[in-house]
Amino acid sequence: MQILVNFAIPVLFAALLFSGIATLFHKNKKLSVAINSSLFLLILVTGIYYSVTGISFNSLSLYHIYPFSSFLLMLFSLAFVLVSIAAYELDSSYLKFGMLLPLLSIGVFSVSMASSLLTIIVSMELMTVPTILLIALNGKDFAEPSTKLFLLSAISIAVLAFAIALIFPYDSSLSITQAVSGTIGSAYFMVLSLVLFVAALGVEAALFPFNLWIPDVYQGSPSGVSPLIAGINKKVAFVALIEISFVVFAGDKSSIVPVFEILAVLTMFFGNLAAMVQTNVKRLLAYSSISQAGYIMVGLASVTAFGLESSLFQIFAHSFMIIGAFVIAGFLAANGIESIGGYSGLYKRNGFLAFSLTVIMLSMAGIPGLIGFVGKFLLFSSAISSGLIALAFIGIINSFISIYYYGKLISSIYSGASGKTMHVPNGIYVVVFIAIAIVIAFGIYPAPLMAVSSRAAASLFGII
Amino acid sequence: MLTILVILPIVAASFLALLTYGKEKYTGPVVLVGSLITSAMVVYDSLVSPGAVQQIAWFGISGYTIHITTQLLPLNIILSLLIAIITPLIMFYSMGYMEVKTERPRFYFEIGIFAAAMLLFAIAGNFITMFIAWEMLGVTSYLLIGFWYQKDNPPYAARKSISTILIGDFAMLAAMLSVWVSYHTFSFSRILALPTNPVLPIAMFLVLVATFTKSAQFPFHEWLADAMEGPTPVSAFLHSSTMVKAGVFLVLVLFPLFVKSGLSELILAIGIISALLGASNAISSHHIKKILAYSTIEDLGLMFVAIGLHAIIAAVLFFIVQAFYKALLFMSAGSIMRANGEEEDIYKTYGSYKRKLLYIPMLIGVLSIAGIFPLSGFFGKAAIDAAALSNTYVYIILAVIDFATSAYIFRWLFIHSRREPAHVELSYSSIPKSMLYSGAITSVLVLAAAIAFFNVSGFLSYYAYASKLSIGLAEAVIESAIVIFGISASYYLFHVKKPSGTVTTKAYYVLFNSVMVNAAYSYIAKAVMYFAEGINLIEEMLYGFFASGAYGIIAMSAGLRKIVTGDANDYLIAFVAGIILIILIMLV
Amino acid sequence: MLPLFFIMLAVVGLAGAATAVYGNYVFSKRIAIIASGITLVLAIYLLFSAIYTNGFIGTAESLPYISQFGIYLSFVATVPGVVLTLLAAIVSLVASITVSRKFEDSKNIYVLILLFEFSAIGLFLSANLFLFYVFWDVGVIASYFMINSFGSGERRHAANTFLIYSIFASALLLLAIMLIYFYTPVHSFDISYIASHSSSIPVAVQGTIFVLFFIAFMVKMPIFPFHSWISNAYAEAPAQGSMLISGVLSKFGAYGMLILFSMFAFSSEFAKYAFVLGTISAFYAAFVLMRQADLKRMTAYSSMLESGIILVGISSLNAFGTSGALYLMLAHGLVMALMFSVIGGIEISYGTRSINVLKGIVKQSAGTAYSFVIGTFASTGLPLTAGFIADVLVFIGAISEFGLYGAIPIFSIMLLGFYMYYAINKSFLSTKVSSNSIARMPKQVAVSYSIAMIALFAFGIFPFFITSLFGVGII
Repeated sequence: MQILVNFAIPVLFAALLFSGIATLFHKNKKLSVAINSSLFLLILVTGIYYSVTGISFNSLSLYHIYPFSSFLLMLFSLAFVLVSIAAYELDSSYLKFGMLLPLLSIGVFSVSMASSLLTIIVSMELMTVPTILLIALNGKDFAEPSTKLFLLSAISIAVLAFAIALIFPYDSSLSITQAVSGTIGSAYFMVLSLVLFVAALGVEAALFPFNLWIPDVYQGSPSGVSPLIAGINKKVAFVALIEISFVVFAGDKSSIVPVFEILAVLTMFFGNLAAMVQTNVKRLLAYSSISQAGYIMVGLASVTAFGLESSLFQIFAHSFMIIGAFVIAGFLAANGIESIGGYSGLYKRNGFLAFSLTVIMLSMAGIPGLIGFVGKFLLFSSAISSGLIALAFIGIINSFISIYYYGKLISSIYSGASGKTMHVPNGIYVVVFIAIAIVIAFGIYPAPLMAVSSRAAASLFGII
Repeated sequence: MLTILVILPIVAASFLALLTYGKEKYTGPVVLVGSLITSAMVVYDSLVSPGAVQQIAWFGISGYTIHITTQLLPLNIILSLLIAIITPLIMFYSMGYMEVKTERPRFYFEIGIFAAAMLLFAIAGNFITMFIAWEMLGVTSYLLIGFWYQKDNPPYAARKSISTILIGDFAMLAAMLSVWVSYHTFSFSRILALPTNPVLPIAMFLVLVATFTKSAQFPFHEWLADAMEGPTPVSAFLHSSTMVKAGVFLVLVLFPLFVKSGLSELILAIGIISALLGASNAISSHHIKKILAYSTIEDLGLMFVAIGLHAIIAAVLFFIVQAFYKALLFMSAGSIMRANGEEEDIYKTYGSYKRKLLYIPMLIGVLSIAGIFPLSGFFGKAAIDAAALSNTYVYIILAVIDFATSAYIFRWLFIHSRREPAHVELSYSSIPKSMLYSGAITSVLVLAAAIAFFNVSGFLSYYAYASKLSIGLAEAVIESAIVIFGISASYYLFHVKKPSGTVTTKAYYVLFNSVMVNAAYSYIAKAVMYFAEGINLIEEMLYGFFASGAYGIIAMSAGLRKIVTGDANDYLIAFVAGIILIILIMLV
Repeated sequence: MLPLFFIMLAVVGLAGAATAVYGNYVFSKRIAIIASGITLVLAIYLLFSAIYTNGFIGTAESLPYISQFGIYLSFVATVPGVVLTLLAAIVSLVASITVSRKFEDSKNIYVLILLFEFSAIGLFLSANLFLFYVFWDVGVIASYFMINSFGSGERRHAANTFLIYSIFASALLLLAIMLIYFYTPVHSFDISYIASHSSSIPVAVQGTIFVLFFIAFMVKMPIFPFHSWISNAYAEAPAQGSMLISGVLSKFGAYGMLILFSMFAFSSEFAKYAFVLGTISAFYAAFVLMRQADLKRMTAYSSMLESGIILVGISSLNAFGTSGALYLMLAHGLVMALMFSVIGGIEISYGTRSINVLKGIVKQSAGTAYSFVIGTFASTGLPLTAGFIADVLVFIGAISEFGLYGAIPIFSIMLLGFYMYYAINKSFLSTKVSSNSIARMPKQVAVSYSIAMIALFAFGIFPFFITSLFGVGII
């Protein structure tokens, strides 16, 4: 039993890898999605087990399992289930997903459980390259987004590597838990390293001004990929950012606060203001997810366990909201509906999609009873409890601004013109249903999720 | 017995009236019976428990209890008996008057509720009870004036009346609540007993404004003339004998407070102005009912004059006698109009002498209002004149008014009793019996009311400002001389000269100044509307202000969007700029 | 004892869920009427228990919810809570009975009505500010969809304006609630705890929190200058929506104002400004109202006027003013239910709501016309309607606190009266010319406004039921 517990993750990784490679040979879409999803579900089960038992151990001196990573295992495995099912329904050539998703997921999970800076950089690379491929493999039309993503990722990884190199003289073990002691504040190399970390991870985490590529790529990506990069890749960057700024630079909180604070403000305003005039729904969602990144930064800016808990909660919440939203938007885009105007009459064409999108929009806007509200409530509360009242105020103003474009979209969904009833494949139903079930269930009764994320946050602070 | 129960039968009857749609022949009798029961109860109460003050707790709050209070002090008894007598007569009159069957239930409901409200007002013992009645009076009056909503004018007249009365209602509300805050009670008797208070003058001024609106005094008097658009029983009941006197009655009840507040002169001045305006319009109007309405304004003005002169008993006496003769004249006017095909222009009505049962009672009324000894009107007027003896100017003005009164009322009589021209067909024979009989009964009351002169001061001896009524022989002679002079002038001008009704001299416009008053009203209304227009402009600007704020944000948004150029080079520049930004933050 | 508050919420909530999932128009309507009816019965039971059972006020029911913040799903019977729950139940019943312009899938309006009723009952009975906020926003969203999906004319614009103003208010409210939480000695959302410990919050913070709350509630009541949403929202919402928004949703703000003023000692410093704002708002509304031709816009501004008066009552900070304000909320909610169902009926029957077009309604629909007249009487506070008791109490309170200045706002009601009677004259009680109805007045409309009228008179003639509660203390 103990062995099973300790080695479940490596074994599952191996299985994933095998499944990915096997897809190359059997070329059976259904089989591939079934196997991949089952494996993700197994990781989910493992994650739940770890989380419930609150277990903590180092495995193969590469992975560190503790409540923080178990939380993320649960989050990402479930997200992967949704993403792979959605990709199966949205992308006619699913096989590339069948092959690359397992690979990519190993990178994602590894970042979550990273115990060394090297793991982080390698895993980030492992996550990014398949993503670029997933976009690029769709043909010439997708050359632009894939190139942009490639360029930015390349810079990001390079900067990341340089940042790690800057630490190396101080701690050659590169283990995150012992990397640096609390005295680095005065060392300019260390400060520079922190800056470069933030900048490098800010690219994927969609922090302003490193995020200008986001709208282009989110909008330009094929329907199957947008949920992946918005719902998973972005969150992974946050996870890495959390691990680095809260663990590696744990002694340097006072200099982190203003940086995170200003990045949060800029990102929120940029995302929300720019979203107001968008007419393309995927692009609007891209900006909205930028603004959500800003909210997550509000929690990080308070650099307390409570703040981290709020951010983790919001990462979880937003992951499923944005996957749901992009799946719906992607499905509709596949049906030729891309602009807000085109969404009019959706409630008559398909009530379920209309309702789900409404719920997700309301949740993102922060309406009580839905998960997005709890997330924002926690985030702004954490800011206030750390004395960052102005930040909380700006956050609340931003969530007020955001109601404009969410409202515009909702209003469009329920406006006049009716059209043909739309047939929705079962996979989409399942994905959207799970997403809104999470949005509603944890919106109405957030206590369990709060408990889990609270334990995760505490454990991260505990490992220093 | 609880005094307040007296209103129950009439209220019940009114609601029963609403159930008689389809069986309209029962409507009138039902309400008549109800009003008779009520009258009987009023008489019984007045005999059995005079002076009774009863209170029923209505609701309580923070240690205070708000009561529904009734009192049967002599003044209350006088008004409630007056109502008890007149109500059945009016109901009886209406049975003939209301030809349109389908409208009967509505009419009887409204007038029945009015009667109940009036009775409640008469027995009210505190402000809140009084105010309930007061507002119900206003509302029922509004509904009754606009009763014939099929016609052009009544809805407009109704709105005018309610608009004027609203001013009074809210002034009264403000006053009554201020009084409560000062005294922590609504009860009339307690407030009268308590010492004065700095708030009192302002509160009493507001009460006075309210009474002026209700009793149609300058500058709120014009609504009463327009109120004549209502059915004739309504004019006879509300707008001459009962409702309009609510204001006078309230001033009488609260008179010591007005004295304490130093408002007697104001009462006197407004009374004189209103009386003069009423008389001059009455002498020049062409409308058979409006002449009587302006006369009512004048009568009410005279009552205020008497009150202003502290001649309370004279005021009460006039209060009583005026009710009967004015009701009588309105009933007669209704009959004349019926015979002339509902014609309202007095110059187009003819032949009122043709029906003795109409004419003789009417003559009694006319002589009484003119002030011929020994009819009740004579005593009423002479008592007020006698009170004014101490003040020469007032006395002279009152003499002029007396002269005008006798002149215009005989003008009224002379004009509609002309012989009709050949082309006019009259139908005096078809006037319903109930209309004539009720007039006849009222004329008997007019005659009988003279007795009040001898009893009223004794009856009111409890009252602080009561003094004995006395009319000297010399005054009586002068009074009669003025009246006879007025009648003669009227005889010459309006009977011998055969007026055509088309005079348009300047003097006519000075006399018939209601046109100007109405113009002033509409200027005020226009001014308010312009002001509202201005506020509305602000409203639009405010909306625009917030909207432009929103548009500003959207414009910012459009600008911000331009950062995302779609060019990867720019993104790289931004990346570098970001690093520099963070370093700067770290350094600062 | 039965968990009455949870039962009420469950009845409405389950009915709402049932209508959302199953059924057609007729079924949903029936369910909505039955659920609102049951809720009304329970609300009346609540009222009578509050009156006759000693110690019932203060009864709390709670379930653990978010332990990390010490948040419970806790509900408590307070005097304003009980009274306003009754109001919400009556207005919801009226709204479920009445009909408005038909939509193909109009069963959803009953989902929204029930959702709204759920939020209203939850809000009025909630014992902590967290729940208050949650139900507040649920109410806003239900109203938003009522306007957006079932409104008329420029409904989307109206709905968006409404939403932007409402969320602005919510944002401030949320900030204020979070500030309170972290500044109370033992972090708490509990209203009674905050009320008893607010003095330990630093004065500057107290002022900030107070102003944030105040502006949020001002938007919702609404009070000048944050009222620009009402004109469109009330006018374009369906009859049911207008009723619920003006009758109940605006009471969210008023109720919030009431607890706000009782929660902070700071309110005594702020009262006079609140009084001035209330007065300005009332007069402003009265004058803007005079230029409206649309019956619904007219009623909207009359509602704003009454909100001004409610604020005047609350700002008097004494038993009379506060209970008067509460009574006015009740009275005004009922008046709005009456007015908007009448106007809704007129709109169905005549196809317009403009007093410039409507003529002589009494000719074809006497009942409706006279109901409007009675509505006018009630809005101007005629004795024997609930508004009168409210006016008396409010202004006694205001005059006690502010001297004769306290009597000034009375005259704004007079201005309202002028214009309302003008409208009656123009469109209702004058049949020289009369509009022709294009459709029969639906019977349900008559039933709905009858209920509102009965309630108005009942609370006007028998005020002692409600006022007997005021001895217990308002909060």
